Order: sequence, then C-alpha cells, then structure tokens
Amino acid sequence: MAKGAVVARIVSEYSDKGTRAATKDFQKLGKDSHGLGKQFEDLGKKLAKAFAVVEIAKFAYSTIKTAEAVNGAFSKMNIAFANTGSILNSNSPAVQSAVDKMTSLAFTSADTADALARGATIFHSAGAAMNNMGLAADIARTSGMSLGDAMVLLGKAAEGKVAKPLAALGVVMPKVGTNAQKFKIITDQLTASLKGQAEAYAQTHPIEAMKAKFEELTNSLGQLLLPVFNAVVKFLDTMLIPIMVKFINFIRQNPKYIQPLANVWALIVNILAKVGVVVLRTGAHFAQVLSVIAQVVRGIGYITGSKELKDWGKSAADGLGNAAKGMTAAADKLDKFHMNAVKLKVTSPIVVKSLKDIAKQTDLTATATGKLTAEQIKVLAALKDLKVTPTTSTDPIELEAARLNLLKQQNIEAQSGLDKLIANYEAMMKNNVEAQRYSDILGVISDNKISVEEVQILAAKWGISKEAVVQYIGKIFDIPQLMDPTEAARLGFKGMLDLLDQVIAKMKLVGAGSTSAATQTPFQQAVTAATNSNANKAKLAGVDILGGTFSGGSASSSGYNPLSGMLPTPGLTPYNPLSGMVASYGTSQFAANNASTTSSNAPSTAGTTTVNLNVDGHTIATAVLPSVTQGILQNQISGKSIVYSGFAV
Amino acid sequence: MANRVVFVGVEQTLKDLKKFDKDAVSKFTKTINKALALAKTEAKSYIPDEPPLSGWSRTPSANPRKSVRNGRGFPAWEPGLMRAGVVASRAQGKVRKKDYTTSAGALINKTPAGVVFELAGRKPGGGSTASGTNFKKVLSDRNSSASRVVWRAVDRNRDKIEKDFARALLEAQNTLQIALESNK
Repeated sequence: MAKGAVVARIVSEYSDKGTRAATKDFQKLGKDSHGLGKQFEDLGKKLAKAFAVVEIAKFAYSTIKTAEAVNGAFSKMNIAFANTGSILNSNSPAVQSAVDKMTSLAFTSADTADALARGATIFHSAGAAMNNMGLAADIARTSGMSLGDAMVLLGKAAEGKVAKPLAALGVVMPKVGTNAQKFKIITDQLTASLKGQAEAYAQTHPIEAMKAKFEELTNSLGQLLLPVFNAVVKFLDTMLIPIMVKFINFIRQNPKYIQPLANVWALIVNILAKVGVVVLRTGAHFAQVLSVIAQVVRGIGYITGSKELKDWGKSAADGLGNAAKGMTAAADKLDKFHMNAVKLKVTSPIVVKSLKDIAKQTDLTATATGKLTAEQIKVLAALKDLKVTPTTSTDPIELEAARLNLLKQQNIEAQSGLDKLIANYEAMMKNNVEAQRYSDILGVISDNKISVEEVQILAAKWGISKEAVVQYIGKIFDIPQLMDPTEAARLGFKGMLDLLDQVIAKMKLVGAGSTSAATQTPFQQAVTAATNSNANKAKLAGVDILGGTFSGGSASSSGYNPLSGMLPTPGLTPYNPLSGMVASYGTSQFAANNASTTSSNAPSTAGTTTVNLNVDGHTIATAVLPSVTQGILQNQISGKSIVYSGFAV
Repeated sequence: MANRVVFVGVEQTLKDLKKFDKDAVSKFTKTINKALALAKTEAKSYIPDEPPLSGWSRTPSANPRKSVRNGRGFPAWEPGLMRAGVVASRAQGKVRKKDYTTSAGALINKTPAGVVFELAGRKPGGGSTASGTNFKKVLSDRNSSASRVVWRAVDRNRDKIEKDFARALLEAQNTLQIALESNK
C-alpha cells in the first residue's frame, strides 16, 4: 500500500489476527511488569478473557485440589479406623494432635493420614497405629522411605516378619516369644537406635518443613474454598455463562454503564496485581480480594437484575471472607514456624545456608513489593493505552467471548435477532423498491398510456423481464388480465367464443341480409361458401336457419351476413377483455385483419363503451372489434398464434 | 463512530465453507465486492475534473523544492490518476490497537493529491503558514469539509454495506451449518 494512503475502513472484523495481537500485547504487558511476576501475567491473560470469576476458581484450584487429596486421605483413614472398631476419627483430638506433631516433623497431613490408615489396617488397631507413628517417622527419615511404607514395615514386624529395610537397620527377629513379645523387643531396639531422627531431619531440612507447612496452609485455604468451589462449578454450568452473555448484551444496550464498569474492571486488575505479590508472602489477602470481586459480581447482578448473580455474589463474598480469616490464621502459624527456623541458624551450616536462600528470596519479594506502586502505575497506563478495560460493544475480548459462547451454545436468540434485523432491512428495501416502481409507473402513465418502449425502459430499469413488468402493472392497477399474459390470452379467447355464441344467437333473431361477396369478410365468405356448397345444402336441407328453411335449390343470390345488425344491440354488450386498457399488439397479421375490415359492415357504436385498441400505433374503435376478434379467432383456428408484445392503460 | 458493527468469524466461516461449497464462497465474495464497488464508484465521482484551486498545477513540478515531499514537490492534480488511486480492498491489514479489529472491507485513497484533497483542513484551526490557512479555507469553501473522497463515500454507504455484509455472512454461515450437518 502506498505510504500515507487514506484507508477508510467500512467493515471491521474481529478475527484470529486480532486475538493474536491482543495476546501479544498481554504477554508484553506481563513482561513489562517485572514486579508482578508470572502470577500477574497469567492473571492478566485470564482476566483478559473476561471471565474473571472463572479464573478465580482456577486460581484456587490448586488449593482445592490439595484439600481434596487431604480429604481423601482422611476419609480413607476414618474408614480404616472404623473397620478396627475404633471410635477415633479425623475429628478426634488425639488424631489432630498426631497430625500436628507429624506436620512439625515435615510430614504432610495427607502423608500422616495415609500412614495411619495403613497402620490401622495392618495392626488391626487404630490405637496401635497411633502409638507407632513416632517410630515410623524415625524409620522413614532414616531409610528415606515414606511414612506409610515405614508403618507397613512395622506392621509386618508385628506379624513376625522382618523386611529387608528393617534388617538393614540392624533389626533381628527374636527366636522365642509371642509375636507381641517379639514386636516389643524390635520396637525397643529401633526406638533406641533411631530416636530423634525425624526431629533432626525437620531441623536440618527447614525447606521441607516449610513445604509441609505450606501444604497445610494450602489445605486450610482449600478446605474453606471447597464449598465455594463446588458452588462455583454448579454456578458456571447453569448460570454464569448465560448471565455473562446477558450482561454483555446489557452493556451494549446501555453504554452509559461502560465507563463505571470499566473503572471497576481496572480496579479489579489493579487489586489482583497487588495481590499477586502479596500472595507470595502470605496469601492471606487473596481471599479478601476474591471477596471484593464477588461483590463486584454481586453488583453486576444488581445492574442486570439477575437474582441468581446477586445471591451467588453474596454467598461467594461471605465464603471468601471466611477463607480470608483462615488464611490469616494459617499465615500466623507460618510466621511462627519461620521464627523457630531462624533460631536454628546458629546450630547448623545447612540451616544457615537454607535460611540465607529463604531470606534472599524474601528480600527479592520485598523489593518487588516495594516497586509495586510504580509498576502498578505502569501497568495501569499500559492497560489504558491498550483500551483493554472498557467492556464496550466493540471490545474484542467480549466479542470473542460472545462469539465462542454463541458457537458453543448455538445461541438461537442472537441468531433470531440477526434474522429479524435482516428481515427488517429486506422489508425496508422492498418498500423502497415498491415506492420507486410506483413512482416510475406514475411517470409513464402521465399520458394515460404505456407504450412498448416504456415497458422496455421499465424492464431495463427494474432489472426484470417485460412480461414481469406487465404483470407488475396488472397487480398495481388490479387488472387481472394483465397479471399473466397467458391468462389474459385465455380469457380473451374465451371472450371471443362467447361473442360467437352471441353472434349465433343474433343470427337466429335477425333475418339474412344481402351482402355481396366483394364486401364480405373472409369469415363471412367462408360461411356463405359453406352454406351454399352442394354438399352442405343437402345436409342443411330442412334445417331452420334464420327463420327460413333451406331448400335444395341453387344458391341464393342474397348472401348471408352474420354480422348484420348484430352490434350494437342494447343489452348485448360485446365481450371486451381489454376494457379499460389499451393493448398494443405488435402483429402485422392483426393489423392486416384490421385493415381488411370494411366500414360498411361497421355498425354504430352509440350507447356502448368505447374501447381503443392501439395496434402498432393505429387506434381501433369498438365498432370494428368484432371483425378484429374474428380475425384473431380465425388465426387461432388455423393454428396461428397471437403475439402479445405489450399492454397500455 | 458509536455502535460500530464488528463482525466475527468471517475468515473462519469462509475458510470452512470453502471445503464444502465454493459457489457459496463466490457468492459471498461477489456480494461484498459489489457493495464495495458501488462505494468506490461513488468515491471516484467526488474527485472533480478541475482542480479545486486554480493554482493547483495539473502537471508535476519540473523543479520541485527539495523540502517538499522529499524532493517530489506538491502533488499535481491529475484526476484520472487520482480516481484510479481510489480502490476497494478486502485485505485484513493491520490490527487496530483500539479494539483489536482488522479491516474486512475498506476504501483506499492512494494518490498523494487524492490524500491532500481528502484530508486537507481536517485539523481544526489554520494552517502552519498563511498560504496553508488560505488553502484550507478555500478548499473547504469550494468543496465540502475534510473527508471529501473515500470517507465521504464510506459515511454514506457504511450502513448499507454493513447490512449487506451481515446478510451475506449469515447466509454463508447457514450454508456452512447445513453442509456440516449433512456431513455428520
């Protein structure tokens, strides 16, 4: 394209190209905001898809997944305990105490629950499992196996079997005594040799311990979010997506809300940007922010009048508020753990190094947090430049979401709306065409006549055939004969037959006149010849024609004039298929027949309707109509067709 | 430019439809091209044979000033060339950052003189020089205000073209839907 050319876009399309550009910008935005880290980049992308609430659920998914895993392990443990006849379960203080203790030894809740379940099964006693947890922890840390596996080894030892890992630890099965006695001897040996291993491991592996604490934190959050999450899943399926579409439509119809909502949207992005870093430190405020978003959703519910959205927003906000409290409590625990870990740094070089790493990471986080305000400003400015916040009708994000939703759900309503729009437009266009055509017709009938040329002009202008123009005019002026040339011809021919019937009827009433052959029309001549032929004379003998009886004598000199006195007769108006209009028949045959009509045979037209037939520019009066119709009839009988080339009013 | 229509799925629809019914694609293309061609013809008609200002040279400068258009001088008024420079395009082109949309149909005014005639005086106020101010004033007085060629045609025809486009797109989508259903 030439440089500097003016490009006037008429039709805008949101295509894959637009999506790619938007994605690219968001990626750039993420890279630009160093202080916000990957979390924000992901959040930014996800938010850009305009399904913030969906992303909230996704964001909390990992915590919920952890909670589900923990719940699954404890469920398994409860069943195993119940099968042994124990009244202990996950809610029992003894169990919770054991879990807390094991957590402090850097075992996760799920690990502990799993080990207790295995122990209860293999010892056939929940109490035995509880009692052996400490030893199992020491074995696990010494041998590098899982807590559950260590518990299984102890269970086998209780049955009198020493597995290789235990043998490697120096365990020798006594040869005498009951299994219980033997097991007690073995556990005493192991306790003496392995005591303190688990604690030492926890103290020398603070990162592992911290990881366990983080998992506990995650679990705490997940437990609180789980009911909300379940509600979200149901909500998404049944309510949110349709309501979001409704919301988008609402915004399109009420653009005055665009700016306020854009501001809210920007606020959400701003808050989440801040939260993205805060989460790295404690995570406690995240749920509070989610609560804010839920309130926004609730607000949208008010705007759109959607009760479901309002109710969901309220319950989600409440649930997330509780989650925030839990997060804060968990964060407090974490802080305490961190302080305990700090105390250890003087005792172990490994701990010192680990804590230095942690401190370094913490400093980086703190530095990033310190930069947050500047980054926020930058991000917001970038967002403003990118125009990503407005939820306008031209917002590609919304459009893409709406489009996908449309495709997925086969949005019949939208389709129907578009159909109506087009139908309305077509109706409007049709009206315009009708109005224009009517105007054209009024123009050409200003002289009370539409010539063949005018029909041709109209046909060319309207883009339809001449016949269609004639039919159209017929419809406009309610002239049935014009609506369809074939129909008009059929009616015309029928009219002529009726006319002949009238002729014959008249022949019975009127006496035969004298007409010389020279002045007869071909029809008259044919009738005369037929009645005077010798062959027909015999056939017609005795037949009463025109009040007389044919004799077998020579032909009468007085010829038969079938038309004499026929027209006009009061009360016997000839059929006029073209009454009220002028028909232009462009046939020379028709003109010739007309030309052959003699004025001597033309009766008076007084008292009848005057009909003008415009034949190739020649006007034919009603008086000669019978002759003309005879000619047409003869042509029809002889197989010649009548060519209609146009009509006029 | 409120309530502008943005179409979605045009490219994909045509791409998919091409696999089933090339005639339907051709029909769509023909409809759109026809609508664009009408707008193009109208835009061309807005370029007068005579220069809007008597001093606007009909021939390119023999010795143009080097400071003007990189030494090419002020563009000459050549109506034939200018009209030929008004073209319709369905190329997607650049993505508009404002709303991440691309063009699905546009009129382009390519020639330098055409661009000057199209845009001169669009910016409010006077020119940077006295002669520039006078140029803008006289041009606007003798012709319509800025946006005199392609934008003028676009403003007049946009609604119709958008509706034609929507109708053609809907028809193409329906055809595609039928084809997809019959090929299940």
